[in-house]
Amino acid sequence: MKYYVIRNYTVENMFDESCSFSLYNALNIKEINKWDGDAVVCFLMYPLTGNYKDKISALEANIETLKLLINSCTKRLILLTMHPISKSYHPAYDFELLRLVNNYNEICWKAGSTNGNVICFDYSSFLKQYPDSLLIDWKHFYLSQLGLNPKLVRDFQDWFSAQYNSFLSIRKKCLVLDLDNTLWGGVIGEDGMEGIKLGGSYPGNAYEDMQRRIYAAYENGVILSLCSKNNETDALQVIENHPNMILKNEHFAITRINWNNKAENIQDIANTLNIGLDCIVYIDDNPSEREIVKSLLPDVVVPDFPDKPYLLPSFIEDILCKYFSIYSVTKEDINKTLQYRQNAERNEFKNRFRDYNQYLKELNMFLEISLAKLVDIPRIAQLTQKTNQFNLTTRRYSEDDIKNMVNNKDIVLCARVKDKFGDYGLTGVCILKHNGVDSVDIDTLLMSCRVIGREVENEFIRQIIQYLSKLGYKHITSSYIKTNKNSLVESFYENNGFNIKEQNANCKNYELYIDNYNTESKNIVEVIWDDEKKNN
Amino acid sequence: MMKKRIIEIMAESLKTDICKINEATMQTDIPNWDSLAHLNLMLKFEDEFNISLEPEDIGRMTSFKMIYEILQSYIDKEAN
Repeated sequence: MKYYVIRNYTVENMFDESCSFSLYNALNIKEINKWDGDAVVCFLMYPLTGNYKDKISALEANIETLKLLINSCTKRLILLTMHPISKSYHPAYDFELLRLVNNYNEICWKAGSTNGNVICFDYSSFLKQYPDSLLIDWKHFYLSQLGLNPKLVRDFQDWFSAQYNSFLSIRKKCLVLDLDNTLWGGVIGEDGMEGIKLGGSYPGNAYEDMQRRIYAAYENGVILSLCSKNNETDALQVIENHPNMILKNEHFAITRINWNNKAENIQDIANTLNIGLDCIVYIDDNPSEREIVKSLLPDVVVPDFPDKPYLLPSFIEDILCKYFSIYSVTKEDINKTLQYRQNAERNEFKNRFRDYNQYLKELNMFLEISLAKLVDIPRIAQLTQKTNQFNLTTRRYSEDDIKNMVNNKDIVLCARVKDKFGDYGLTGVCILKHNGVDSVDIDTLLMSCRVIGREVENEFIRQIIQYLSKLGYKHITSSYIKTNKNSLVESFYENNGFNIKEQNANCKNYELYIDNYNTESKNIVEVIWDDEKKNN
Repeated sequence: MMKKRIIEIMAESLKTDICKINEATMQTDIPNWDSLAHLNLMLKFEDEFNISLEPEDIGRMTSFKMIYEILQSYIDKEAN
């Protein structure tokens, strides 16, 4: 299966290679809706770093991400519930954290049960099988942000594919119902309209209650059919005229009330509706009828019938849960839902776009830019060594290289990023080299993949250009050097107002006359400058 | 025996043809050996040899030679 996984920690080792992964805590709706695969998985894990305040703000942001995703994703969406892991020393904090986790999970379940495109998998119930102490391997968490103990990864994969397979295989469309002693108590042919038990006191109330639940399933798109050995006129008279009969003739797509073999009738129902026998669940109180259907039509699901009427409502509820959960709508229904949505989306594109920017604003992102200080040099060298994706030129430098640049009057800028999810520290670098009197070349521009995808990178380049303008520069050159890993940024400079000067398969060179630059800030990221002279 | 197994694991985790890996292989020789592949490689070693590598060692295991030396030291420690 090919999934696109939205995540806040490292989960690449939990899915197979064909999957794609979002940037950390980033939600790119356009990219998701364009992406071609089986399903989008929203896998935000309980925040593992910081104190309770940090966790509360991360959880609040997770909830916003989830809501935005549910409202704007047009793909099949799998939501994983969240499982609270650590405990704080203060019960009131725990309570607040738990409240937010419950809120998150409630949104998952609600979307899963009301939206045909959304499925909810209870990741929390998977983790509950293990003691808390086994869930996270803190070494691998702090080394690589692994969100699950690698020892549990194989179990996770089995669990996940079992969830998905059961969702795919248990998709039934049609509920075929018997009448006597199934939808009402007694036998119409013997007891007559007045004698059958339906409504009123026990056991009639249990039959009526069961009918109410079946009616709700009908309203949610389950196809109902009748298959009963009876005189059709007797049966139809009850259906149309009994005051407590909830299910009426119009609710049944097909009725086969006759004395034919039930297996034949069910085959006929399947043919007429043009659905497979494996899409049918057959409910009948009579064990021998059930046996016949089971042996002649092995694809039809034939559940055992409870022997007491008071068990009927919960019996039918279980059947509906198991075989007709709301996400089990037919493909046509999904397409219809999709069409409706896509239209709505086109109409409201502007609104949604504003919402997305609003959403980003609410992440409270801070970008702090400063000239490199001595203490920053090891981290800067490390970033040039390790950063692959958001790295325009992928030039690798040692600490000495960086030190020489700083002493050489090259401009080395560092970016520190902070948001609701946490403080990422020094995660961006820009190295500017003099090109002439009023011209510089962007030798290196990189950012850690933990912070990009949320406008920070665009604000960073905008700030760099403004800064150079303030220093009196007129002209900037830059380049994109292609590697196996950095296709993410192949159009970064074009998108930020630079012009392509020359280009070949592996490299693009750009220039920008600062006077012509007029890209406005989206004012999403708050910027703090610390450009005091270096040398400290 | 152990060297052969290490090379097999490296080829598998780094998605690299086994004939391109030998006792002189370094991280810089293998284009697929990025941080994620390194993580997968380390997880595989921990699983295979039933050990828990220290972060400092994980950082140093960037060539066949270092991998072999470090794994050997863990296994010796286990044995004693």
